[in-house]
Amino acid sequence: MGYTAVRGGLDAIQNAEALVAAMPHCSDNPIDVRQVEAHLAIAVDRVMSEGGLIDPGLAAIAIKQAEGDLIEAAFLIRAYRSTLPRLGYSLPTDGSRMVVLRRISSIFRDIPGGQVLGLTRDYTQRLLDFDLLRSAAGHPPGQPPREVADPPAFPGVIGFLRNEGLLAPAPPEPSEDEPFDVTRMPLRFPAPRSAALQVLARGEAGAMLMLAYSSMRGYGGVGHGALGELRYGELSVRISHPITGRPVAIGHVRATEVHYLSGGHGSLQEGEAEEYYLGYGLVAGRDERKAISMAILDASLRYARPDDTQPVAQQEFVLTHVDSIESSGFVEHLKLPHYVTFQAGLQRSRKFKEMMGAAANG
Amino acid sequence: MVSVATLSATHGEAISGYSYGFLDAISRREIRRALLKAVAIPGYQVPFGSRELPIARGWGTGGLQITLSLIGPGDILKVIDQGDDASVNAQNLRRLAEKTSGIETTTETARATIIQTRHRVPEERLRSDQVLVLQCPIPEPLRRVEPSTSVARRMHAEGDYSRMWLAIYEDIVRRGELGGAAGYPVLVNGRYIMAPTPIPRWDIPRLDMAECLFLIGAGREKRVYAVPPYTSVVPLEFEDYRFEVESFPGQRCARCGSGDSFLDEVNLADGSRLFTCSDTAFCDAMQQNEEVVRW
Amino acid sequence: MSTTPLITPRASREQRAFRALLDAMSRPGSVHRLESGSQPGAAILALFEALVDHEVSFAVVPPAAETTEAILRLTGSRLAPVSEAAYVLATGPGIEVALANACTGDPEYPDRGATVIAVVESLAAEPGSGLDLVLQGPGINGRCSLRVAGLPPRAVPLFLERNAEVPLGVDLVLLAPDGRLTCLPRYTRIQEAN
Repeated sequence: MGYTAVRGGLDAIQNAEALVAAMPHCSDNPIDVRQVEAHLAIAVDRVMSEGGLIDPGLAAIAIKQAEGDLIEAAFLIRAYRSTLPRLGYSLPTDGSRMVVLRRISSIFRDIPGGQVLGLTRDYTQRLLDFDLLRSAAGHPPGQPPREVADPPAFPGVIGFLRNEGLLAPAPPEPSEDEPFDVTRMPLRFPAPRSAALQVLARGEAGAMLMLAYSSMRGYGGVGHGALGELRYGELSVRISHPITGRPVAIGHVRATEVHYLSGGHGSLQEGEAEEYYLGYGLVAGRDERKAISMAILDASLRYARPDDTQPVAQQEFVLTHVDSIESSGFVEHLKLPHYVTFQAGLQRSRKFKEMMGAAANG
Repeated sequence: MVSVATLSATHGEAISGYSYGFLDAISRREIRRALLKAVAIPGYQVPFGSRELPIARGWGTGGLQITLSLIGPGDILKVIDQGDDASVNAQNLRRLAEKTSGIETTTETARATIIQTRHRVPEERLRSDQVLVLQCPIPEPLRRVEPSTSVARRMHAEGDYSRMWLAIYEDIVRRGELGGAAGYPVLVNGRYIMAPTPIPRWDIPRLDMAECLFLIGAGREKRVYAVPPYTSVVPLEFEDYRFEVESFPGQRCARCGSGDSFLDEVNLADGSRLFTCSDTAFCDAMQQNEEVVRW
Repeated sequence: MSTTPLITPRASREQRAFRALLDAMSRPGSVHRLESGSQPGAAILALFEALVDHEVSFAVVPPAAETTEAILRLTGSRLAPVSEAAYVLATGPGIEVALANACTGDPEYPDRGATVIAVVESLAAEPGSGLDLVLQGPGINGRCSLRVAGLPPRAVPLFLERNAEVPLGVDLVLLAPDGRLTCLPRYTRIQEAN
């Protein structure tokens, strides 16, 4: 005999945990969560967005704890979010109330309020900056920002298209229906738009990017449109005061909002006069790539042609597969023991092979 | 619109730290309601608002949510994975339950009131005072023939399982016998085709007319379903091609000598191969000559 | 978490009530006991506390202001018409109204069929005076006897009628004021013993 069954599972986990816990400290220069928050802000934004919880300090802890694995960090945030009591729901707001920090439109050369480039890398040259090797504290080079006395108004660009009747008017007031909450109820298909938007807002950036890209390259959906407007800035969060019932602001969050226009929908046969359909993207923090992807997906799911069988046009396909916590969990679950299921299959495979061998010889 | 006052009234215990059993009261009630409907409609997949837990999706959050909704101070919990209490994953799940509730745990099948399992049914027969909670990766048995959950739901609603029967027939054409994979589809209470979770064929007959309650949880896919006691569970088969369990001809467990349990294969460095019981608690009991009630 | 969380008294009550319901639903006709106070209506509140909150709706048939108020205050739930509510509390002739009108779900979601909680006078596992029922179906080994006092005459026929097209159907909980309860899920076949 001499075979000893493998034991020590608990020891193994505890040793693994000890290793993992040591990682954030295993250098002479451990990173401070405040540095993560200040200098890896895009990562922090992504973790808040996919975690579905807006708290930069917590996201920074998660990033440090996860050694920079942003999906793992988002998972930490999601699990933490599960434990928090739900105190209420904010009042609906709209993007036109945003305090704008950046705002552009690709469909008109100039727009009221102007094209405000703001903080963007889009037009920088992608040259590695070796000056960053020297860590330098202190003020950034260049001019300090100055306050603008009377910030201009930034009316939504799509307003022009609506006024002309080229784009459907906005619904007259916020909907009476309670938005679907995917953290409370499982999705059923077809899912209401509020559910789809919530899933996309928390969706994994890479998955959504891939789907949006495929649509732009012709694999279904309506990815051949234009960017009506993109805004980044602060949105006020307001709730109904529990006693007076009046709206009261309790804070603000930064978000990126996109209006994507899909065109060419007019049809003589169907008597369809509206040329443009709107896809909407709203993402926590600074993530233009994901907000644009989201808007393309929103439009594709709503306005793809009925005979469009590509994945990007299938609501169930898109909404099921863009959640990073679910997708990574399931893909990585293959690391769990599967030896019983494998054994069940192995027996059959051996038997089949025998049978084939006998058939060949017989 | 729900008021802050209402939500605060029912959330008192969550505000001051983690709740008993990790889940908050509202989540627990949601799962409990779903479980009661699942038991009332054997084999039917009840959708529920699956919560995120500190354990990854796909790693047992469905089974865990069921367990955490069931347990109270009087329970004794056993957790196994592939039949093994000592498996890393089983240890991890047991730890979370212990940490969040202080519940008593055991490796002895007969002592447990709740057994959470991944991919095995214990070799020891379960009693009417025991609940078996099975972790499930893919609750939809029709996934093999239909990837869309909404289409599959319609097929279940109409009892239209023709495509499934066709797939099983095609296995016979291709391989000369019924498919052998774990998680063989079964018909429950004469009505719903159900995924029994990836248990080996060996364990399938145990679901039929059992004394215990079976609860199945799929956290990522957000479904729970159930097989009550004394309920018919029949694997899909044809009159001339019958369902068969795995066999281990001439093999016995290298540790306890049992020739009547599901065996794991162990390939040794010298090229030889031996077998041991997958159910380690059963194997321990056999080695100690203890009385074990079988199915 | 540095210390193991303790179970609050309310959570403990809810857990025990749930386990009683789960056992009863898994073994139709078996009689279980809810621990509740001796005040009138305590058993009803113990059940509703465990099952109902703002995420589901309930109905009370016939309408009873005091009971409804108590349930609303305790659970934060909301009232709905009998034909829409997920949980229907029924007493006396209201039991027939509830069974006749409660929602039976739809083919893709039979779980949306309601749970009717019928308050009866007494429940026992042994035959005797009152209505003697013989039960068969999932959860029952062969047959099972149940004696119920306080079910109106059309209750059993209505239960069978509304559940004739299972999996669509209504699930029934019988609750006595002393906290005894049993469950008759929709697949249960019922015969009245003579």
